Amino acid sequence: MVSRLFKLLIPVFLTGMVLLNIIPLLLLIFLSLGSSWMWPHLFPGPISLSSWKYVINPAAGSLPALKTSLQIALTATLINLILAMPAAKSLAHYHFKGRKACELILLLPALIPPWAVITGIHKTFIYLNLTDTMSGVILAHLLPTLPYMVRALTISFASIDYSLEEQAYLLGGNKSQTFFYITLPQLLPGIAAGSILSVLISLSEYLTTLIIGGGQVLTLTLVMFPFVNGGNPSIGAAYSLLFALMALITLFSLDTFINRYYSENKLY
Amino acid sequence: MASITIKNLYKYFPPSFALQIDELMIKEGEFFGIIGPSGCGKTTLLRLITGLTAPDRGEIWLNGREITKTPPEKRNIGLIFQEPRLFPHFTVEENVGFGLKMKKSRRRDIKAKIDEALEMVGLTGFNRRYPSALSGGQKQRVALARALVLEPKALLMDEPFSALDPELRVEMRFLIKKLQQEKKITIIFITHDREEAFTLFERMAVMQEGKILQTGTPLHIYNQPQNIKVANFLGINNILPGYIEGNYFYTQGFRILLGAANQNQTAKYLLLKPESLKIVNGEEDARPFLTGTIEEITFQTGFYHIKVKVQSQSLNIIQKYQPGKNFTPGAEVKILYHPEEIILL
Repeated sequence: MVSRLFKLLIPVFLTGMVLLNIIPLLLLIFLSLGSSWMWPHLFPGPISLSSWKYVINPAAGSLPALKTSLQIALTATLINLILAMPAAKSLAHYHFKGRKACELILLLPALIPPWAVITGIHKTFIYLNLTDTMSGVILAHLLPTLPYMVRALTISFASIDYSLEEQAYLLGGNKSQTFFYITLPQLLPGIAAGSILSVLISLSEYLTTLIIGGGQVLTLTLVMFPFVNGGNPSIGAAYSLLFALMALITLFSLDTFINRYYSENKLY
Repeated sequence: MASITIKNLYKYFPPSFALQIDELMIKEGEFFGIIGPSGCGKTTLLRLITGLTAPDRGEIWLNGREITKTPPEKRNIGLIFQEPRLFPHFTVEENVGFGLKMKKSRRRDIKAKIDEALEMVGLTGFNRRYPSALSGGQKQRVALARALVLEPKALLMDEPFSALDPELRVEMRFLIKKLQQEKKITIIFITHDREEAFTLFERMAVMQEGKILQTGTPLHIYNQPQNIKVANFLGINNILPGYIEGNYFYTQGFRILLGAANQNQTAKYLLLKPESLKIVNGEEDARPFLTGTIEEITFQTGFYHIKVKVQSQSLNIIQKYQPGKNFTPGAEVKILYHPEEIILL
């Protein structure tokens, strides 16, 4: 009885979830296309492309902002990968004193509100001449993204089959060959997961970019924020859609790249 | 192919296990076996020889050259585990060619050697399959090809066939024996299976609790075990405690006549091989005998395994199945024994 009810509920639940995701998107599309949709009109006003025209207009600076966003997100992710790899390996495999504490410290930035640390970082960066620069913003973006990369890679390292590494040594593989041919392919799912999270978080980062970048480093989030925040909801909607599209394309290409690497990592 | 010599090898595992091998020599081209119960240190010994584990002290020599400190990738000693350990993301030929590729051999040579190795293990044409598409036996054959393609100085095998089903196990034993004879490979083969030991090994070592108890040919060890642990492990499971007086060995409740050769006056144990005893139902025979009651009978592929109670002790007896000759539990029987086949320790 219960299970039958459950079976009936599953499609209902799924449809609900899909609608929950699609309705806001549809609304955004309407909003970006309609100049107005006011009470008591049942339908939005005549379709207008003015918001999109504004967004695409070179004067609005959308394209450079998009480029900056991607540059920051991808560079930060690459640095994360390099930083997180040894940390994750240690956390997954060495049982040293204070391992739990290290794990917690590495996770803290994701738990503590950014305001709490960003002012301090800002002050330090002023001394280091890093404010208002892209490098400064990239460094600041490591803070909220690194924990996710470490987490994803730790799980990946923990699930690695080390007997295969042993086997590779026995067949004459040296340390780097073994890492490249045997360990790395096993880590790829974790690398993919960590990279995707890191890219997404960096793309949607607003506060750190604003404070460290000082308004000089303009990412898409920064450009669209004033419109979303009441300036012009229609243009804000268009920007939101552009942002979603950018995120989607980045994810898709990242995924394809990693999958292709995986399937083409042939010996000969 | 090469000889392996081990001297004073010692490795301690906290809290309480230590492997200690004073001396062990494996000749070039020899099929050498190590047999012992699980947890006796067999696997550790192989890991020490390959370099996957470092010893606390002692020396390992390969062909007159000390390799104790050489890293595993420079030893060129093959090791085959119980599980095949194939690389799941590589095809069969990539797996087999992995070692050659790591050595940066020429591409054309690699291809030819892979095909040759796959032919050796009977897997011609499997080049492009992935390990997930192979059966357990095929996987182990690929692992074997992958080790052999490097022409290792020695091939170590850690219970390689124990995860396979019985028929396949016999087939793989036959294959490895054939390859060993053709290629004169030095093999060290670990097993806890007596049957496997007797079929394969030219010489073997019996190990227990981190030590080698006895080395020799399987037959020699079976006929002259040095102590009761070895005897028990090899299936001589009638071990009677007692003492010798005159021509007899006295044990709880009965005595056994000794042969002329068996005059080891200080022996504390008398061993009877289960297949050297014969149960007779009453027919006359000149040989000495014991009397007892049948307790338990099991039938295993052509043989009866029978437990007979003699006074307060149980004797294990293996009898060949013969049509018309039946045993019934509770029956009073005579057990014939050969005084010359008795082992005294």
